[in-house]
Amino acid sequence: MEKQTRQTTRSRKTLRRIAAMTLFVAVAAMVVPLSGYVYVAMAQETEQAQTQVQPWAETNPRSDVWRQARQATEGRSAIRGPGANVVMTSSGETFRQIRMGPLSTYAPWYLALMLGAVALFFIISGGGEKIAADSGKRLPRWSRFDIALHWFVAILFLVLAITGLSLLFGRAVLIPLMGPEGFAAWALASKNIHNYGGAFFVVGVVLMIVAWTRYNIPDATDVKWLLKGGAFGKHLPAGRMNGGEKAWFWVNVGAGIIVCATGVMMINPQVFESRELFQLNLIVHAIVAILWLGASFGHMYMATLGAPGSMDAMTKGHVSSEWAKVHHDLWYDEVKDQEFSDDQPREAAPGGNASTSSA
Amino acid sequence: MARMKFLCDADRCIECNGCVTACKNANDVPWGVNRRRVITLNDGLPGEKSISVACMHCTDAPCAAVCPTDCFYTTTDGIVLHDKDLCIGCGYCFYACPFGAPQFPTTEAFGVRGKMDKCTFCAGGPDEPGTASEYEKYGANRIADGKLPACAEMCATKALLAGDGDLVADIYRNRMMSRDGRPQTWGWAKAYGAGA
Repeated sequence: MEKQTRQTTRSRKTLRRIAAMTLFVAVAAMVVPLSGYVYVAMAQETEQAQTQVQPWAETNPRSDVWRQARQATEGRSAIRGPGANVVMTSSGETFRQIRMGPLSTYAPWYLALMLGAVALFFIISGGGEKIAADSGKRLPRWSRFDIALHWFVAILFLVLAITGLSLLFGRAVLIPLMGPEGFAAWALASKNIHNYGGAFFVVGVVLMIVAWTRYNIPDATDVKWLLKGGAFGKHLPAGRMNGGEKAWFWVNVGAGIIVCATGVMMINPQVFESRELFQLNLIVHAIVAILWLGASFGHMYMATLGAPGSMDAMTKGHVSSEWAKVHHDLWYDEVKDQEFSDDQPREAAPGGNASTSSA
Repeated sequence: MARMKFLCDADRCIECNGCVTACKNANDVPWGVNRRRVITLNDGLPGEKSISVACMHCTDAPCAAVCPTDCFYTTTDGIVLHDKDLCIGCGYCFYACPFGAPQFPTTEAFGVRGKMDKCTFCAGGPDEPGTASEYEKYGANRIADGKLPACAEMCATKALLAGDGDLVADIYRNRMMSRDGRPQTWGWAKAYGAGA
């Protein structure tokens, strides 16, 4: 009996404990999720405190209008035109700073340095080796089309360089010499020659890329030629075009595309009528064109003093066999069966299709 | 010596374009060329404001800095003018100007730019004042007659002010100080208390 009572008491105690635990869990399960509200409320309070406009952070509505105006915000204007709905822009000042600053300062130094480097190289090396053409044997190198294309582009290149440099540096260099009226006349002529000549130049550059890319695919011979100093007077193995000539060709392709594309955009302001685009184009056009001009001094030197006999290729269309053996030995081996004698008339020479003979 | 300035009171401008019309009429500006224009910011929204803008006659003018033929000059009144006989119509001034002030007639073949035209502060050009050639090239020379620019003179709400910078600033400062009780008088209550 006593034992039974003890057992009942124990089981009652256990039951009570279980009930208490259950109640605690149930209450906790209801209350704990509510803490989410507390969290949200606190977060909102913090956010409010952060986003609330502080009296010292207010902006003056009148100043805001002028701030918008200053920051080139687009509005609405009854007047139409590029940028007519914008009160103020800063990009023009950037354009001015670059054009009248680094561009006008470093471009003449670069051109002078390139001329000086070529002159120095000539003085040190004494010019390229003069190769006697005793045998009178000639090899066809360029067709009449190639020669015409070369001089078409070359003459336009020089004309555009002179007129372009006149527009960039004439104010500093030519006004003191010609006077304001004299220079204004020359500048107007320069502008028109540059604009219209540029259109023909684009055609020439495109034709050059189409016609001559096949001769200028670089290969291992060219890399060796360039790395071992072929440009500095060493006679290294070379095909129809050596590494230096190919490098110059690809300079023409790269610079030509950039200069022509920016130029076309600039002479069509009614099509490409963004002010920012024009500012960028003018700077890129000038920088790339001047780098190109400096590089062309090297080409002119090589064609005249650097490798005597080379000029024949672009004037007569054929070169002496001796010259070919020295400068383009691999090409000579390829085309020596096309050799003809100097005294033959040009028309009878097999050079009419020279450009395809060695491709 | 006066330093000529334009100032547009954006709180007064009602975008009537009267200044644009007055300018075109006084200077016989060709079709397609607008020496002055009105720009409305936040158009159709609360707080929209209109601003009339033309050549601001900068002290260090970017147009003059980039001109290949150096055709710009600044008068003793601080007005930036240019010589159309030297202008070649290259357009660089338009691309350098922060305000889009230089304008180009495109009447020639292939849309080639003609000689640049811009606001002269109604001060003509380098030609002899009052001559036909000056009027044809640059428009009216009202400054030589002792008058202010037509745009500011014609402004119905007197939003556009033109003249000596000191006087213009005084007028504008007085206007600002008398605009009490309006939200635009910003900072007043903070500095002096709400009732002051």
